[in-house]
This record gives sequence, structure tokens and C-alpha cells, in this order.
Amino acid sequence: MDRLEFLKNVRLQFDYTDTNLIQFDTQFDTLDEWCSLLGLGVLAMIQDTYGIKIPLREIIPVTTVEELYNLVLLKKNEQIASGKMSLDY
Amino acid sequence: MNKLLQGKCLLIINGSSDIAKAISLKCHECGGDIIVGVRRDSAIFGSEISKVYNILSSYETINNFAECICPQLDGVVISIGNVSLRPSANINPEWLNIQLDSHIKIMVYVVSALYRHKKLNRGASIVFISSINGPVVASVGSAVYGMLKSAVTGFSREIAKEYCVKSIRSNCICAGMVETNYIQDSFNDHQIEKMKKMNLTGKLVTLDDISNTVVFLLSDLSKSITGTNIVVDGGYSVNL
Repeated sequence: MDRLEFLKNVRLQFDYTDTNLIQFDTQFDTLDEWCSLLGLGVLAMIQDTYGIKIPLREIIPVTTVEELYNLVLLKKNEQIASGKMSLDY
Repeated sequence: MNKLLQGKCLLIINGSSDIAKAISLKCHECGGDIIVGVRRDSAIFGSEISKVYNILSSYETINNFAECICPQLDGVVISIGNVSLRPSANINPEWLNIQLDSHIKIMVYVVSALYRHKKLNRGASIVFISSINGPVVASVGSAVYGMLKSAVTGFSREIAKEYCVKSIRSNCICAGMVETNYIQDSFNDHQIEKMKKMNLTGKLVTLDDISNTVVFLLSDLSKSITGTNIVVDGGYSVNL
């Protein structure tokens, strides 16, 4: 799972935020544009692009792009290990 | 209360969800003879409910159940479709088809098959479990979910008119946030306290609140109630 590609995909969910402000160590809630709807958009992107559905309880503690990437990578590896590769809606 | 459904044969659809399971057990406690239709064999009810059928995977399995297996019914409860939030800009055909299948098609196939095969007794009561999201309120990321839940209330109202020739009633429960295992697992105590304060009652809606309302609508106590929606949300929609 390409790290820079992931960052690019997260940046694409934002309409007007300067992409330079969105880095791996950026705290989501420091961005003016960040809101629950945008958060849902990021989760939808993760489902569609990486085939991973993240339960609500696991996303709540995530605060930065890096943490989100690591969570998705963990879930992806679990998915590969279990042999289940289909989209998990 | 515990004799309100005595002698009534009731079908509960998608009984494996927290809400539908609670409804099944409550109806059983109230004397109902319960049959449960589920999507997966893994549904567990214990010894109280023994008639569990894995029938919801396709139109054919539903139709076959209605035609060949289902007994005559005095009531049906349709409680299907998980909450799935997604901004409208992120809708794609695969995701949308899954939502339509799980929320709408199963509901339509079950009800139409039961009527077509004459399995609904005269005076039967149909109860649909919907949500305040869509019919009553809007919230973040639920354009499609709200649309689907509005479709449930619309279908219920039309069925009430279509089936009244056989004195069959149809009503919808528009539920607010219900205290299920999913809510307990997904939110911490602080978040749950915030949710409680959004309701006029100061509490979350419980599984008992929903299942007691279902029992009322299935029973003869509600014989003059049809074609309507009952909001069970702790006053959330009034408090906005």
C-alpha cells in the first residue's frame, strides 16, 4: 500500500484546503475544512480504494494522517492473512 | 402485557439484528408463536425461538418460503438494513446496490410474497422498523440512508391502503438512536452521555422501548391504528 498515494487520496477529499497543509503528521481537527462529513468521505475513500471498512470505535482515536495510514495498513494485512480480498461494505 | 399476543402467529424478518432479536424475544414473552427469517445461519436465539429460517438471500428463497413453508400469519415485523453513512459525492453503483438490496428489496419481496400466497390472515398487522433519519430529520452523511428509510414509511402507508380490503393494518416505527451493542462498542461513555442529553427524556431509546411499541402495534390494542408512523426517539427530533 503506497504511502504517498494514500496521502494523495486523503488530500483529494478536501475541496479548498491547501494540500501543503495536509501532511502525515497533520492533526485532522486543526484543519478548518475538517468536519464529520469530510471524515465520512475519507472513510468512504478507504472502503472504495483499499477495500477496508473501519469500525467506528477504531476510527475515533485516530487523529493524524499517519495514524490513519497505519490503521488501514494493519487492516489490509489482516485481510490478506485471512484470505478475504473482496470489498467489505 | 404477557398475553397481548396470545394465539398470534408472527413472522419477524432479519431477526439476527439486535433490534429484531429483542422484538422476537419480547413477542415470544407476550405469548406470540414466533417464526424468524434471517440472512445467515449463524443467528442464535437460544431455546426460546426455535423456528429460524435462513431465507433472505434472494427473491427465490423468499418466494419459496412464503409459498411452501410459511404458515398463516397474524403479524409481520420487518426490521432490516444496517446504518451505512456515506457522503453523496462518494456514492458508487456497487455500494448503492448493496443498500437497495438490504434495505428495500428484501422488504418488498417478503411483504408481496406473503400477500401473493395469501399467508396474511384477515386482521393481520404489519410493522416496519424505520428511522427518524429520512422521514423526520436529516443528519450528516445519510442522504441515501435517509432516502431508504423514507421509502420504508412510504411503502408502509401504501400497503395500509392496498391491504385494508382484508382488514390488514400496516404501520411504521421511526426509531431514534437505540442503545444496542453496536452503540456500546462504538462510543465511549462521554460520547454516550452527550447523545443522551440530545433527547428530551435524557436517555437513549432502549431495545425494550422499540419492542414494546411493536407489541402494541401487533396487538388488538392498536386496531384503529393503520397507515401511520410512530416516532420512538426520546424526543430527539423535537429537541433540534
